[in-house]
Amino acid sequence: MNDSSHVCRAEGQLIGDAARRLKDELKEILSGGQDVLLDLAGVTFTDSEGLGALVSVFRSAGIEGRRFVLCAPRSNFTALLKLTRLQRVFDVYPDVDSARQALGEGVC
Amino acid sequence: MSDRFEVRVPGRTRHLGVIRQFFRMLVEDSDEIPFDEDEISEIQLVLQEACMNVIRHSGGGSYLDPVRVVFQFETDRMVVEVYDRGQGFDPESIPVPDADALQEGGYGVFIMKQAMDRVETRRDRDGFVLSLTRMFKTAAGSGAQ
Repeated sequence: MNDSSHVCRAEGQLIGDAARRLKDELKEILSGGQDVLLDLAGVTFTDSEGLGALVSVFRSAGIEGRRFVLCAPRSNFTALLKLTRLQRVFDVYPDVDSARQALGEGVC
Repeated sequence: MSDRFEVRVPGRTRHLGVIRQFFRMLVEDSDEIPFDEDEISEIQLVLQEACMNVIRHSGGGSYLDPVRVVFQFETDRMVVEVYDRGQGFDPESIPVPDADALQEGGYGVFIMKQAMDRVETRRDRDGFVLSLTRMFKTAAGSGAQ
């Protein structure tokens, strides 16, 4: 992984205020000039509001010229991406190592 | 089979997990209800979106006017009814989100339509009712796609 990447680990439910806080934190990291890898292994539930927060981060990454990738989603998050048809928008990796490798090698 | 279950929680986002887990407890490892883990995840999402609608938009969903959900299991389907005392809405009037536009909101009703076989509404003496039907794969040949 290159030096300009930052790994974030989210935990618990990505809904409501928690989603808004995470969005603000990730945007701050992006504006500091780093790519962001968000590890979702500890996220037990995400709703459309939580996903909307991540869409907002994804848009900010594009504006900043950075990359925003996701890894280790649980079945709930996978279902959410499928039902909203946003699975083709996000780069999603099965685990942190493969996401790190992709970022480092410029695959994503 | 025709079993009916009902759950009510205070209208706060943090309490909606009770409804999701209530549903999981009803269907997980059931010999009669053939939902697999992917289907359970999808329907838990639908429950969240439907109940959030009650809290956000319907004027209901408070400690005095809780979120009320009824689960009805038949031989070939599950019908979920979500009650509120708000003005209600027409699911067909909600625009389909454009994935290319990277919308940050407007996915709730779309998720319901994608995951369920029927999304219907009506009014009864208890207020506005959002009725969500999911057929069992084994009975219908296939569930919602």
